Amino acid sequence: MTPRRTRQAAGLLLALALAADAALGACGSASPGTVSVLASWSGAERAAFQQVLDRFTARTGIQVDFQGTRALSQVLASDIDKGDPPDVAMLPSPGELSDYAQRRLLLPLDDVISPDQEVAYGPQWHTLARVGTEHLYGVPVKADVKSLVWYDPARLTSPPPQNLDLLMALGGGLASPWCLGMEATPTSGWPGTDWIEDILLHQAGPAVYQQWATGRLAWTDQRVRDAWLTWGRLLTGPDGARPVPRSALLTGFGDAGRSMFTDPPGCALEHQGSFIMASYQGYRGLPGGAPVPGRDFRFFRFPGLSGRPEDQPSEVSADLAGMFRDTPQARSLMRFLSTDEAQRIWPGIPGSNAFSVSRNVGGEVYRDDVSKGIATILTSAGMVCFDASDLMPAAMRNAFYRAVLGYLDDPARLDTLLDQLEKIRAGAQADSTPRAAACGG
Amino acid sequence: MSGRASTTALCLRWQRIGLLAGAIAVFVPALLAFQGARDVVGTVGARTSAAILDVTAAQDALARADVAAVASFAGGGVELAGPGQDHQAQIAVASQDLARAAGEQVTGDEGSRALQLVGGLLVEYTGLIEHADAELAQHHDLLGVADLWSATRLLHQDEGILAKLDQLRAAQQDALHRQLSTGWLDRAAALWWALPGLALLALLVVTQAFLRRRFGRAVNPALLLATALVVALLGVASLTLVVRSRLDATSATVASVVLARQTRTSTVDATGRWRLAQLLSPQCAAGCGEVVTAFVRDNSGGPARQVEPSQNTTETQEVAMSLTAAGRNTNLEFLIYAASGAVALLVLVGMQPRFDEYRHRAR
Repeated sequence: MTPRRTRQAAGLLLALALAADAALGACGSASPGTVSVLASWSGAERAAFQQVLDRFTARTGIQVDFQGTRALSQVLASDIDKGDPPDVAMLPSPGELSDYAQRRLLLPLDDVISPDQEVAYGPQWHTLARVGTEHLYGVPVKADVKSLVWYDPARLTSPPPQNLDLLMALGGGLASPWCLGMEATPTSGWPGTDWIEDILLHQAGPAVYQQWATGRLAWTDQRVRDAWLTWGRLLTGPDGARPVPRSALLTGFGDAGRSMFTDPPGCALEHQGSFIMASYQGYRGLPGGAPVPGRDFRFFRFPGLSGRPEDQPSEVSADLAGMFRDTPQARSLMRFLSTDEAQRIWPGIPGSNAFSVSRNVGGEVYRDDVSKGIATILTSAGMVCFDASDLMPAAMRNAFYRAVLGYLDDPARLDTLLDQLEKIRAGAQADSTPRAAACGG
Repeated sequence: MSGRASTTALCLRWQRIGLLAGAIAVFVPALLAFQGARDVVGTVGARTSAAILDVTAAQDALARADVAAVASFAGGGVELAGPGQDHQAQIAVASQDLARAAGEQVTGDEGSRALQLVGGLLVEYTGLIEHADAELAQHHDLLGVADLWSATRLLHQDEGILAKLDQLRAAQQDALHRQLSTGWLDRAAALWWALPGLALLALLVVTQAFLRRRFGRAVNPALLLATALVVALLGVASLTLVVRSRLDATSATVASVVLARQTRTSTVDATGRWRLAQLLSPQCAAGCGEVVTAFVRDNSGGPARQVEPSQNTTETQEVAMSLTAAGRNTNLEFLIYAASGAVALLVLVGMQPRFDEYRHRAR
């Protein structure tokens, strides 16, 4: 081979090598990659969240490997033990978010979510999303208000009660005014824990609630005991004449409100979170057809001892996205979830009954006044407190559920139940890591 | 050298190359198909059908465990008997079945996740039964019945344990169907060895005719024997189609066992629901919501029912026998090696004298 041909061959080889390198490099940069997401949603919720993820993929090209499981806590714990956590998980309990943050398994989002995006959430949510630390760990994907009492406006025409005494007197002339269902397999009892939490929050105030929710107040404290007793009086009436509705132990929480819409009604009031709207709207076979928000049901805010209910703190729950792996795709998804665009998608789906805590998600997204009212509570400047049982260690939380069932079965066992809860708190909660902040605002 | 002579030499050479290439073209796909069929028989036997049977057996055991617990609690003496020995035994059986199904890994990550979820739900189910036991032992009857109701719902509701296992079993049956209808067991895949085989036979016939015409020999015995061996080789390869048919029969047996177990589990389940309705009815005289009311109404009719005995062992043996039948003759792989080798050797041996004869004539 002549020197000229050698040079030509070398030049050709170099050109081929550069072309191959460019092609491979282009392949690498052209593939946006995948992000894995773990959540507890299935059915309609999964389909709704999929719309959020589809928009994310359309915007970024990043594919989402979604895993939905009802046993989210077990699956997540198992994946973490195996050293293979998902990139992003949607945690239904701020307690878990706090645990993982304390154990440094969750990654802070301070350099992922820009202050401009964070400011869309009210200051109370800044506190809650930091789960008692200096760093931002969670992005609220959707939230619910729990300090609500639902009623049929056609049957309960008096103004909403302004304090607990007036609430107690409100009965609609029924033998058993409260729609009550405790069955929620496998966590039966939680609807009752919402009652106790709401009463304690409104009766003893956020500071006591915060202490109790984070394991720094004894269950045998008189203020906690009073909350249980108040619940008992609300159910049995001021004079204790009504029997405790023990059948609530077998009644499904989503089924309890149905008799509010029957003719004649079986109950007039239901203490339940904003998510109950989906159950109401799903009732079939009622005389007036499926209940319609505004026409067939409305809510008033759970009142305190005094003062306007609008000024009272609200108990809330939220699904928070947390990042377990620091990848560009995971960062991209977390950033997207915090945007106004993403926050609008789920609440904007008809019948989804999902609520955003972003103040930039305007009332036009919600289709009825009831939903707009709930969104206003979540985005206004008022104080909100996380569901206390969601902040408790699992053993404490499960015992709380059981205690509620035990109390409804036999209210005379209250002191025994509180003693048992206190023993569990002393054993399980006192030794655990510091818990997330319960209230913000 | 004459033109005719050189054409004869060329033809002989190409015929020999063609026959050897044809032998290889039959040997390779026939061997792969045979090995593929044998592997599928092994996989279906050791994993897929076993996993399906394990999951259905777990469903059966869980339904029986639930009935046993309700029966024990309804029968009195709960302080001493608890949920009963039968309940505990059936839970142990179900746990073992699920552990085996997890080990068989038929449906990949999805299956592992489903079993992980079922495992978590099973822990919650047994926890609720323990709570029911504790409450009933302390004469907190309503609490105990509420726990039993929750446990039953956890087992039977739409996203409950049995429904999850149903979904998993359906995915396993889909996997079984795919194993039988794709790869070397796909009936169309037989063309890979059948077409070269037929071409080889045709070439052998053509070669015999050529030798007869050019060399005046009536029959070349070696090529005749090679022809017979190619036919035998194709016969051995066609055993893959027989295996496929037998595996279809096994699949049908598995499906019938699944159906029988579902029917039996459903009967067991109806017995459990009837017993639970008897427990719920007095507790819900004032109403416990639409779900409980409907449950009691739908399950209170008729007399007490008896639980049919399990036939899992017999059914598992039935599937095992079907699998044994499917795997029969899959050890004949050596015949493919032997027949293919012999065909190649006979082609060489059968054609070499004609090459020698041609050279002799040419000189």
